[in-house]
Amino acid sequence: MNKNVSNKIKTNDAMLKRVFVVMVLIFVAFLVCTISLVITQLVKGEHYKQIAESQQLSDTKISAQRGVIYDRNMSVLAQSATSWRVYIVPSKIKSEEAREVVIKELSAIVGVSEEDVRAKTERDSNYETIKSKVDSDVKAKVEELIRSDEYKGYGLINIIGVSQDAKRYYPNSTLASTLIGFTGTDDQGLEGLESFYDKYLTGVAGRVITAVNGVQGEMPNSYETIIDAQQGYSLVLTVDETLQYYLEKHLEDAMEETKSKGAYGIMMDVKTGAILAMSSKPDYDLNDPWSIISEKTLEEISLLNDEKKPSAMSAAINEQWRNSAISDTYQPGSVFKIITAAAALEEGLVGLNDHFNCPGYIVVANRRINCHKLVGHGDETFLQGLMNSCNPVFIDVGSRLGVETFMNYFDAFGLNDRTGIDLPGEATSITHEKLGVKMGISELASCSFGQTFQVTPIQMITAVASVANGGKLMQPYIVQSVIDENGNTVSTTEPTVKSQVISGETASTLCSMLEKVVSEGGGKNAYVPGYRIAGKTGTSEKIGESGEGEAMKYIASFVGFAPADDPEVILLVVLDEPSGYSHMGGTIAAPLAAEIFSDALAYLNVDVKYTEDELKNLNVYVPNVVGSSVSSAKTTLKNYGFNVKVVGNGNTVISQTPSAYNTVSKGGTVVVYTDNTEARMVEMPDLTGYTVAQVNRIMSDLELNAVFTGGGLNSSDAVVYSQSVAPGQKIEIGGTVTISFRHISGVDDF
Amino acid sequence: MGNPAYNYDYFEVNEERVKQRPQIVEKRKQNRQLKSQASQGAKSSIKIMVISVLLFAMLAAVMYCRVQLDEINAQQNELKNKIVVAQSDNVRLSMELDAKASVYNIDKYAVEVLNMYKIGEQQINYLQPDFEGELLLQKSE
Repeated sequence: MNKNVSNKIKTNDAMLKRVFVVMVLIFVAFLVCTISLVITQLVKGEHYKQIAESQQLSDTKISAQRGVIYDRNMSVLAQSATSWRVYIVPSKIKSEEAREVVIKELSAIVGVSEEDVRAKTERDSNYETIKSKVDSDVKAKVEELIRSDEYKGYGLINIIGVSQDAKRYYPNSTLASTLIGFTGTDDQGLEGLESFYDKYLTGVAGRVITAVNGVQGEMPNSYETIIDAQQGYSLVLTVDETLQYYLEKHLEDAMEETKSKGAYGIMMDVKTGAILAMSSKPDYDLNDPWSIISEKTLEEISLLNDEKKPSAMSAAINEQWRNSAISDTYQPGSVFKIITAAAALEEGLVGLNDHFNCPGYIVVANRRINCHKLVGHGDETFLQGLMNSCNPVFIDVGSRLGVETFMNYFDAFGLNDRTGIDLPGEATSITHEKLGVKMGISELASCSFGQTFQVTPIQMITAVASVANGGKLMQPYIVQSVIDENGNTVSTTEPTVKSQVISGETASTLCSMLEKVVSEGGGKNAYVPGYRIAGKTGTSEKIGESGEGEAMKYIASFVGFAPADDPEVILLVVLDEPSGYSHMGGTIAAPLAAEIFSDALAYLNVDVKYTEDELKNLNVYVPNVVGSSVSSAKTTLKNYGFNVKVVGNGNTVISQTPSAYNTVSKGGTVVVYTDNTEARMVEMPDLTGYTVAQVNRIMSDLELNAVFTGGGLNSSDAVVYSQSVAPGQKIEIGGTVTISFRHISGVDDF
Repeated sequence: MGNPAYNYDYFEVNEERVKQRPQIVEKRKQNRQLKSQASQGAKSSIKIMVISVLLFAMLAAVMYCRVQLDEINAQQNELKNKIVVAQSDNVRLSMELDAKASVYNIDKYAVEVLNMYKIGEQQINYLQPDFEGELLLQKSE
């Protein structure tokens, strides 16, 4: 019995020991597992998670659409749309036949040369862009090629691919090109507003996170997480598309007519500082910024030898992107006399009726400085000195101010610092002080009439605008507001008064003086009937820029504002290196300003008020007499002051020249046709240099009608400088020709 | 010690073991039992089959739904892509239209093709009627 028990106990002990051992083993195994789990999950968890995610998840970026740029009336100036990028995977090209298919077919579809495509297929890479920013029709053709049965065996689906891209459209091509700028291949802003406001215009990219299976195929969409892209903000500019067009059209015409190297202009709202238009010519097509469109520039480059051509092309491309209105400085010339006059009047150092004597020169520190009128203006008042743009008068006034006061006003008018306009690349003035040159009386003398220092056009117009604005210096700006994709306003720019530079009284006095400059003085070529325009012409030398033996280079400019009694808009135009018949601001820049003002003020619905004299010379519109009897037509036309010529033997008028409602000068000829007799044609003569009276006679003899524009229509010294029908061209009798006049005497300012 | 074979101390006495008397089951009862066992077996088979069919059907339904979902998602993606293409074309064509109808082109067409002239300010007469009512204009002959 005891043996049984002891045996039993021994058996139990053995069992227990075995159980214990097994338990220990299990425990150890469990411990190992736990430790491994802890290491895998906690210590290396993040690492394995990243590896797993990289294998199991596909993260695709969704490009955000760039914001739109609108003009002040919400016309689109720049907008983005989805486009596509055609690429190849050269490493997947397994045979020469496949390569040849890719080269031949792709180059035909996307329009890239076969050599370029071949070069890319031979690269050792997994991604080569063949062409970016292609439209949907090209994309469809590429996809058709990939799926085509004809090339099934070549594995094109692995070689050729199409991915989303973005393309920027500029519907107006060259309009405001130097202002708007353009984007690069990665949709980033490179110049102008596109660059300055890049962070607003660029949206936030979205993401599509999808699970992928073992062969990198995307899993069903229930695993997909989409983070929507956020479209960039849009800009609403202060610029008006129509005013911009008027400015650019006339700048281009003037540049061609005066054979200038460049032309730039700024139009600004006087009261707010908002830029209504800004242009710098020559410019470029925003849809193709890497091409030169200026024929003159292309011609100049073509004359260079092959070695110099690439660098010349590159320099020319960079030059055309440049916004000279803010990035280039120039010597303002007589336009600066406005600032000198404002300072002197504000300090009470000079009165309108103070007398000065101009013998044609003045001696300052043993240096003789000539007036532009070498014989001198003689005795003249300060007002007349401004109207005549007399240098000795302003040198005298400048000396009364003294260097310190002069520089204080120079600084107060914002001419020492950048204006802070919201555009990239703004330059600042170059002065004696900044160059470390002590300003003495000689330097003061030349600075008084706008020479020997340089300012930017934006600085100059902002300073003069303060005179037109009751003495308030405004902050110029271009972006009116920033809006989101739903049209909600994100931010708005409010007009900012930087300082009160001169008193309202001084400003008002100066406005009246400047109106006289245009109505009677050297700025009379800027005169537009019906509008009160105030302004000043300027001509300056580009000192140090002429090579040996080369003629002096000049800059001609005009700054003006209207209406003079309550200014709304101010305009500055600059012609750089005119090489035509004249380089004087009064002769070539003032008429340019008149043409721009004529269009712009009518567009802005500025009230027209004609004087008695202007009413006498107004053009009249031709009434409609088609369908009337010949006698009735004659009576009607004669009542309007027209001469009548009847062609044909019929009794009823079947057509007339000029057509009804055309505007012609009073006393013109209307030709009425009573049958289908062919109209008689005459050859247009060259009227350049003829006076109003001479033109009237010639046009009357030729039985042609004229529309007279420009200044000095009442004056005998105004002559023709442009005509709408070119000399030698055939024109039907009774036809209308627009003829522009300008003064040639009393408009010099240098 | 003695012969362990006859040492009953080594034998475990399972006091709990109950001698089972063979039970005498009537043949009828046995048949009934067999039948009921058979029918129960058949019922359970049917149950198993039905459940299997149901499970299979559910599985098929789930798979079918997933396939449908995939197809609809694929269609959705295709439509999304078409929308993107259409939007892109819309912007491109709008821009082309704007370019054709730009101020420059309108001005050029009006002057060069239609021989139009800008109306002078003096040609515009602003009327300020001091009455309320309609203004009827006669057609010009």
